[in-house]
Amino acid sequence: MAAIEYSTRIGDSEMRLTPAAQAQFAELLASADNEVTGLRVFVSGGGCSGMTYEMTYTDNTENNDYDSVLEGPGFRIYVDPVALNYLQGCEIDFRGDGPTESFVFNNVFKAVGGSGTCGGCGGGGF
Amino acid sequence: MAVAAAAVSRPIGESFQNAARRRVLLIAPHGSYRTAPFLAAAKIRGIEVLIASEAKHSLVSAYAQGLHIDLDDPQASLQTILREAQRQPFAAVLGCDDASTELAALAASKLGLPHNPTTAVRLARRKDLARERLAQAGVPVPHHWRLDLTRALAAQIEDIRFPCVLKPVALAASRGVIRADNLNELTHAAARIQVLLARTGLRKAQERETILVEEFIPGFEVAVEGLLTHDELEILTIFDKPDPLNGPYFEETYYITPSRLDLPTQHAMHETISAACAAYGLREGPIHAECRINERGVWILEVAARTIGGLCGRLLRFGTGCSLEELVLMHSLGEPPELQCEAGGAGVLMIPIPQAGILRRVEGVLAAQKVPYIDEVVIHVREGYELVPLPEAASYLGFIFARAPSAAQAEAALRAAHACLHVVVMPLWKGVSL
Repeated sequence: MAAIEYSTRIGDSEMRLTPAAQAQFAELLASADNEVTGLRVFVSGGGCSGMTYEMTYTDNTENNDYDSVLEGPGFRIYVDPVALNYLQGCEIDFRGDGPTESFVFNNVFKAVGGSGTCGGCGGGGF
Repeated sequence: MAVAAAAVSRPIGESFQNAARRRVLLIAPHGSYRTAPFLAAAKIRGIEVLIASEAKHSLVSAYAQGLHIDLDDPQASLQTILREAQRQPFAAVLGCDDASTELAALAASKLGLPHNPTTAVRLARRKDLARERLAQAGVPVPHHWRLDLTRALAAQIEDIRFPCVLKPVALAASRGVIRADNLNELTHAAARIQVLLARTGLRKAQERETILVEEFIPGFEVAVEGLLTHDELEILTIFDKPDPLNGPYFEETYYITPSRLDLPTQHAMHETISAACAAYGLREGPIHAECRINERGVWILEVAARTIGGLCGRLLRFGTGCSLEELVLMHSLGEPPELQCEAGGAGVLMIPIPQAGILRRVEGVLAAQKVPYIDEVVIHVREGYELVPLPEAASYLGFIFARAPSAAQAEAALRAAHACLHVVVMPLWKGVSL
């Protein structure tokens, strides 16, 4: 049986970055230590509180074979397969015009549906 | 029902009642720091311990094979405990954490075993109720106010004096404790605590919706371990906290014993803590007190009906090497414990979390371990996990333990060991999902 090719490149249909987010990622990486090779986007949580979408620096020494990568001018984003599954179709934006600067994950529920909360245990809805 | 892994087999032919004499029920939240030291102590002393916990599917045998209860449902848990006691009696019931002391008291009372009144244990756990009771009993307490988070704050904060300290009423380890020096800081701190309380999983709405505000008391802070026997308090040890705790957050760091406070101050402390125990109605078992001392006297910050939390209990050695947990277990069985503390100094540093983010690594652990008088350096957070500092934090980065000929040498060793550590933290950006 032929080996199945596993694409590690993140396409636009999977995850997109707005120009503001791209500029912010590049700025963060320009100020990082030399050992940092990129930013890792990951998800945590679940259940009634929904998923949490987070980012940190990485040297990408772990999970090298399975991470998917999104590269652009001055930045590289790594996403593990589980996180990418939850992020399918999302757009990451950066908003620095409000009271606090923040990365905004738009359309994150495209892959999983729903609203990020559940009504199954009385934690949300009716 | 299988018993905990630490249980020891009984001699064949031993009577049912004799077996009950050394069987203890330990009620513990799953994952409590306190469970393992109690199991180890039980093994050393040949005491059979059954763990009651909510961890039905735990991979830890002591939990999985123990009694499965729901701490959110005390009445159902009580019935489970009573059924097990009918099958094979207990000689004592202990709760080792704040979350379980009330159920332990309730179960012990139903089983006719030595216990604290449940009302006393509840007072010891609820900071706001404790303050009121102490004031009623004439025990010195700072001016205090209660904020109801379901109502507008403006009408509730007119009389508050500054500087003050805001505290959740039912959290421990300085979690959510914030100093405010003016109205603006108070409003900001209340909002921050409100967010924290919404996430903590506190069962009772009143505990999630109430903040205690009290006048800030300047002074030197100590922690006290004690043991109550028929209303009489025996102080086991006093831990000095040599670093000033003036806020805005109140992170525990160094605990050093024996105390270097003079004897009259220690006697005053004994009197005040005894009065607080009497005011609450505590009369049996371990207590952990936190006090501030200044020129106006000894001030109770809290008296909890349990031993010290975290791993700090391992500092204490009594008589011929008896641990705090052995002592508590023996005391619960009515066996006179040896109370003489070991000579020399000891100390622990609860390693502070230097900044929020993702733990990348802790450098210098081996060098820290090689510092003279250092017993052990324990890093609790694994690489890749999130670090949350106070006031939102629920745990420490780790602990450093020292044992030395004197308290001063133990403290110096801890400071030298801590200086060896370099905590590398990656920033963490939390996204907003839309």
